[in-house]
Amino acid sequence: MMRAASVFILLIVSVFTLAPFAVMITFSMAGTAEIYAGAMLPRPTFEAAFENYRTAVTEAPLMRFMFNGVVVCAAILVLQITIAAPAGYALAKLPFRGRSLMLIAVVLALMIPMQLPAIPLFLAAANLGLLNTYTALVTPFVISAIALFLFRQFFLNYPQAVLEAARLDGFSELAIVWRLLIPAAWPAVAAFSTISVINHWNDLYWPLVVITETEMMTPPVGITTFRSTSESSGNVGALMAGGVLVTAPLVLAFLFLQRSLMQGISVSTQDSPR
Amino acid sequence: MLILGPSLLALALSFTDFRLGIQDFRWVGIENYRGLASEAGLRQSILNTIIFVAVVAPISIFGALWVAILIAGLGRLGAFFQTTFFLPVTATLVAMATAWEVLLHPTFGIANSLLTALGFEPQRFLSDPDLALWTLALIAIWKMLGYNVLLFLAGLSTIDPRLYEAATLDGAASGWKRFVLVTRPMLAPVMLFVTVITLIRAFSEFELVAVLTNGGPDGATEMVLFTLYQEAFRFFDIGKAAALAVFFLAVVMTISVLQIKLADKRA
Amino acid sequence: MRSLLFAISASLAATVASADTTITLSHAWPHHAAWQSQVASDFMEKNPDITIDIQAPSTDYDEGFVSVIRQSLAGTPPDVFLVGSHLLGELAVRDLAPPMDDLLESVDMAELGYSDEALALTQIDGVQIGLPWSSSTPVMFYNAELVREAGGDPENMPTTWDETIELAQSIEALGDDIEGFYYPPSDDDWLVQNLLATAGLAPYADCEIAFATEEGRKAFSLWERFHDEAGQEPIPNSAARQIMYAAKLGLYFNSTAAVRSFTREIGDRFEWGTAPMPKLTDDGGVASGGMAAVILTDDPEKRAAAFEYILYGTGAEGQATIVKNTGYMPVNSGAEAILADFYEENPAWETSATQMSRSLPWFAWPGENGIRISQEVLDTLQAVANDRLSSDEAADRLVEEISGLIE
Repeated sequence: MMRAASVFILLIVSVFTLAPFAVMITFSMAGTAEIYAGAMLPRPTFEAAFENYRTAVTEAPLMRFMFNGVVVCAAILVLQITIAAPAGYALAKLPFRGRSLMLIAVVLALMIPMQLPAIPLFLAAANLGLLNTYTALVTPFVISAIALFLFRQFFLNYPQAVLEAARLDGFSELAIVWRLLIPAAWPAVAAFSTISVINHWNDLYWPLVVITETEMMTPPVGITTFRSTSESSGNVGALMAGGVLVTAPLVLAFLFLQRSLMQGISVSTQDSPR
Repeated sequence: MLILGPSLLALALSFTDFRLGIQDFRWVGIENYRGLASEAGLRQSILNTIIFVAVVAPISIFGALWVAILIAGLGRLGAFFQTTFFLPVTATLVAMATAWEVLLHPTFGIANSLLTALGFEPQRFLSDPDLALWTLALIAIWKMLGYNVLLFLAGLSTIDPRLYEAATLDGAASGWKRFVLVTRPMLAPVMLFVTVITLIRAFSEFELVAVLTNGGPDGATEMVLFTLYQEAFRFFDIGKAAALAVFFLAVVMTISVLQIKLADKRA
Repeated sequence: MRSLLFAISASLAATVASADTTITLSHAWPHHAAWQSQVASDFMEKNPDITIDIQAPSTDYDEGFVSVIRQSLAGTPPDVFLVGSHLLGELAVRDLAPPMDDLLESVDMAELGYSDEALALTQIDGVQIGLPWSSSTPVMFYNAELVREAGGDPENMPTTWDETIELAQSIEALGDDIEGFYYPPSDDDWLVQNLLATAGLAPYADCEIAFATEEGRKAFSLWERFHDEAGQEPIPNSAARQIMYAAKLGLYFNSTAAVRSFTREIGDRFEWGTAPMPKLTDDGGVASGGMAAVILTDDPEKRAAAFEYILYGTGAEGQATIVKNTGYMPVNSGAEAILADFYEENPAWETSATQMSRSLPWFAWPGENGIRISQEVLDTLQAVANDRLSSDEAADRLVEEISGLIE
């Protein structure tokens, strides 16, 4: 009974959640005439789908955008973890003066959005001749306060006794981080990687500022190429096709990696709380 | 000692961010510090942000907790729902915006067809000043819920089932009692992280406004970060932007200090 | 003296050193990318020593302007900027657009097909700082089938606002799902300028803001009448455009530059056309607008090459390409001969050109707050459309806001 009620509630929320995706996919396969015939959901046809996706891929180098997106996201993620893991360890486990002050600084930094320091960062990038480069897209994000904060929270609960034992065994502090803490903090790593990749794949603002060459655009910037305010709003089908193509990689990657991701993150069915 | 380096670097950089922002304001502020002409616009923007955060944060935190607990009780079927709710998190908003516009279209949108079928008046979701902010809040919840669900599920999975057995033996018969006795304290660290991250994201919402309403109609969906961006980089009115930035940083600082205090008390 | 030196070095550069010059160009509107690069590649074919490197397009005129300012701060502005006509003055105020005197000395612009009126569009205080790259006026788009059904005659569309609003009412009455009328608030204040223009007014003339005058307020009140009398819904332009494409909207107004999109999206699904803008008063006109090509670089060699390109783009051939791909009007009389047959076959394209005789010059607010004034105007329009303000209250608010923003 309880179970049926839960499923029912979740189903309702799911419909709301999935509606925009359903709309996007359906419209991406419908022709202009069909869309404007006034039906609530247009009927998809193979020819229209082909035409829409063809327009989407030919009107802008979408594949190139996605490649850029992959490079940028991967670089950001690797650097973020490399830097944040030891730093989070220091904040959690190593006593030093001003630690709590530093923690406040970290959380503060975590809450400052990119829009605030964007102009000086842009000027710095321009002075260094880095506009339209991967370096400019990646560098501002390599130190992630979110990662620091998350790692610190996870490391806090790590038993002190194990750390002491490792030190006695001759582990260096860095070795402790990489060989003991990171494997233990797999859920944290997984959770952070997910949000990092999602955020940077979808980031619109910073790439718009530092990228002026089509070659170097990331997917969301690229998609604005279709979506210029009023003029192209007419070609809904092609717009949606572009949307599907840009959204698909993350959704697929998530579906594909879900199981290994969930090992750390999710509830396994056997020992779920009743 | 080796560890101190990176963390100091982190600290230095987190301050650089901060100082760079300020430097930015000083840099243009010298030549262009105008009076804060029409305060009404800024006040509306701040008020909108507060309403937005007050709606979005609680629903996407507690809603997610509720959904996570429901899912955790479902076994394999739960995985399906979990995937479903996570999809919006991965979605590229610029791309999805067109889908939302079609869905919420004032005359042939599905949302309005549904409303009409149920006997209600059709609505102008994104262009009615009384409604637009709520529409954005709804889309924000759509976008945030799934990630919080995931985090709560992760937290729930770390709770040893024996704790529940022990609680039941101790007389916590109802689900609610077990929740208060076991789930709530065990989820505290996750809860803290979820709260921090949700507050940040809601408070600094920018994309939704920029992509879907541009602050309109008549400023009804202006929010602090968007207004700040408009003032600084579109109108080049650094005076107003600086005023908003000071407000923004003050709020942020308060929230962060509170968070840390809370975190350390619990830890 | 300085400009003479420039001229000499420029011509030297052009004849001697122009081995391989690359010109960067910034323009707005992603949906213009295709034809912009078409013009560029046509040019490069004829001038293999000059490369036109087009930056990724900005989403609209204002964003383009902001992006160029940002790049100038960093010391790397594009060599050529196609700026929205309403922002030309702001570019000049910020000292970003050097006068073109050095380049103009060696050419006879009249002979190349540029009228004095066309050149005047891109002069600030009598100084030529650019050339008009494209120009347009708004037109009335109509769904011919709905017009006929409502008792109107597509060959003989109303010429005054009163008649137009009447027709809109008849169309609106055709059915619950049929809309009669939509006049967009636009992305900047250009279409409001056009409400004033239908009464022969400019937004600001002789130190007077039009919203403060009786004639101006009457013209501005058209916006309220559209909603109260013609049945316009306060919805976004993109939504209205979709209703138009769905054959459920009778009358729609916008720049003639939208003709191309209409052709593409409607195809032959239903019959549609364009008609001249209605008038409010007998001397009613239309406000023109468009984009100006401005050379930002001060490197003489690049200036010479950039000038070559601008002369091509604003010349007969370039203009013919632009017109056919957008619906813009040619700014160069040389293009008219090329376009004669085209207009014959595509009458919807020609309407704008026919109202040239009553078009007002490009307008920009004085000072450097043009973008903010546009935003104020748009906000106010939305307030009126949503019954938050009456037209008179809105005009008062605009006068108060704007007088604080112009110097």
